[in-house]
Amino acid sequence: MESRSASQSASRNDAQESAAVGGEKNPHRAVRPFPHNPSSWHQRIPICLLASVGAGICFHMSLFQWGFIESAWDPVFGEQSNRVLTSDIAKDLFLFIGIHDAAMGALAYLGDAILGFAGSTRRWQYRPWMVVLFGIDVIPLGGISAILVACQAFILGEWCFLCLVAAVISLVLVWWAYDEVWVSLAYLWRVYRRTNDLRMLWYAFCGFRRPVMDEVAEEMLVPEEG
Amino acid sequence: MWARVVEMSIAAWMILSPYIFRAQQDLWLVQFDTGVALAIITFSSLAFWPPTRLAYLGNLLVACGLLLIGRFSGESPPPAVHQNHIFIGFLLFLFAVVPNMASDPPPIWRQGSHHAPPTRRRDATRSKDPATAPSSGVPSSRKRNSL
Repeated sequence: MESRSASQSASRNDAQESAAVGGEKNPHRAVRPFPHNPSSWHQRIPICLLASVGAGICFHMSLFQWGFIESAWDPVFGEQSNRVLTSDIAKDLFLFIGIHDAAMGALAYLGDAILGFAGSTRRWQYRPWMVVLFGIDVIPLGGISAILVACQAFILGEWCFLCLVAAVISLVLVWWAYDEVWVSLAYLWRVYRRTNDLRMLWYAFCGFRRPVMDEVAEEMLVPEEG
Repeated sequence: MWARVVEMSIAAWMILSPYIFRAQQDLWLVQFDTGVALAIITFSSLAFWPPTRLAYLGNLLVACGLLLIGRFSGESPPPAVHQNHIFIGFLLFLFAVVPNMASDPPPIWRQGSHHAPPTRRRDATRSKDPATAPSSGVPSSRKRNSL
């Protein structure tokens, strides 16, 4: 009985210590509530690739807006694309931002690719600020794309094929990226709930390390088999 | 450090910009773009030296300066050369938020994980309040490098 209690105590100490030093053996462990690690390269590389495609599409449209090409490519709606890209809404956005809306879209997709590529396979815990920044870039981008497509339909009454493709890419990116943002926010929320200390929440957000953060992360990780 | 290398490429573009946009007769613009490029190169280069590893954050200020100059220093809509400032300002901002060695965990998280053998056992157990105790056993200079 005594030896069993000692064994349990040792095991508990080992677990606590493992948590305290972040001594996980497998850096690719799944994170609850998902069956995968949302920060793994398998999850992030497709996001980077798709965002690069989106950046390329927007860059093509901005070449038209800058006047480097005579017409934007559109196999479905023909000249309607050019009219959308030179519409009053596009001109107003140009006056407001200072660069064309398509160039701004290219920058936003490029931001998705850059912020998707940066960070380790456990950045949801190690660099939550980066994941939140990534989420701020990806998720509102999907909303803005949807709004711009709605403007095409309801205000201009014309369609732009590449704009629609870009909007679909934005929504797919939101779908692919939300799990990592969710896990990172859940981690920050758990740290705050555990400590009731805004300073600790800030430390967790900035990527500082405290034992409570190791413990919270360990609770969120799916136990390793064997 | 790939982000620092890209920042230096952006600096090279800035040096060439007045000539690409045919504004080389504007001496102020040439000096401004060259100065911006030198600032970017300086901040990015300093990031390779451990004591000034956070110098790359200076590029955030450069990016903000480019955005403001590009947006507010010319007529509306801005001419091509100022659109270039705005575009490069946003682009530089995106790269300047990427930390050094971005694909690795921050140094403080490498201690005791699969990246390095655990070395903090004694100090971790010494702390009275595990929630607020700092991660001990890590040199203070490394703790600062958590970003």
